[in-house]
Amino acid sequence: MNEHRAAPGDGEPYSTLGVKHYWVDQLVVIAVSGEVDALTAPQFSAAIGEATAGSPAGVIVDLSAVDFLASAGLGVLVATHEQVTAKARFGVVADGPATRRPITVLGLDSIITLYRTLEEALADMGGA
Amino acid sequence: MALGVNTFRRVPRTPQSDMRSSMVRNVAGNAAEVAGLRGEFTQWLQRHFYLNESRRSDLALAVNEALINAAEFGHPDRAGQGIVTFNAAYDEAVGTLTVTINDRGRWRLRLTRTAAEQSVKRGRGIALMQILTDELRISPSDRGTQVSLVWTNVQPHYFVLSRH
Repeated sequence: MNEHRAAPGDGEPYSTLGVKHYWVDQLVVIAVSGEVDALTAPQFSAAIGEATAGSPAGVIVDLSAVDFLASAGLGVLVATHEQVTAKARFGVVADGPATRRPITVLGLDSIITLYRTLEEALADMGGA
Repeated sequence: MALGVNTFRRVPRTPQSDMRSSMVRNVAGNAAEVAGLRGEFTQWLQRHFYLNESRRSDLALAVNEALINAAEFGHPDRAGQGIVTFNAAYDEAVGTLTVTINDRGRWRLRLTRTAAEQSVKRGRGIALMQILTDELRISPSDRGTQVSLVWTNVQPHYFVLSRH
């Protein structure tokens, strides 16, 4: 578990990111929660690097519990896609306006395979 | 418009909406301050306006991208950290919400100087701003860059009528 919270100031709390990963057969699932923005994207990227180090057959980034996804996070997803797809499959689970919409309005779903649920991703990518 | 009192209840105006719903902040240009301001803006939106989940997401993301651009590229020299000025104003006569963000740097200059990766990053941010707003204006000047994000047909809470 890689929990990151920037020190809150007097006003609003800053972004919080939670990332954990687990294996389902040959697939690694990276479950993300909180907000993926310019503040937390470096931790997001580092956690993905850690999770994908064990040569999985496929990588699933599960954004089901993410409530904010900014361009910094989209950049990490695109970079991960480029790194992973040389030797493994890559899929992203995203549903709802906070996560699926930023990906689709930019047309990134033509590069990255999107799923609405983790079950759907696991079934399609062969980890079920 | 005449409303039957037994049919509709007019939601009372809050003291905040009497201030013509504006929000003004000055923050340091860094990612943590941007995240804090984004959170505050989201709460301000929820307090004042009727927006569905999708539109609320759009507004938060577009404003975030404008703030991040201002924070990352909006200072006159590479070393310093700029001040980002944020102003959200609602014009209730026409139902338009305008968010204006000012910095003291030049996005255009930075675009030609910056590394390719940063250009891609920023290109995505500007594309999101264009797609997720009804109108976007980016105005560079000698003093800095001003970006205005406009949303039309924004309904305040006190126009929402609910049945008994």
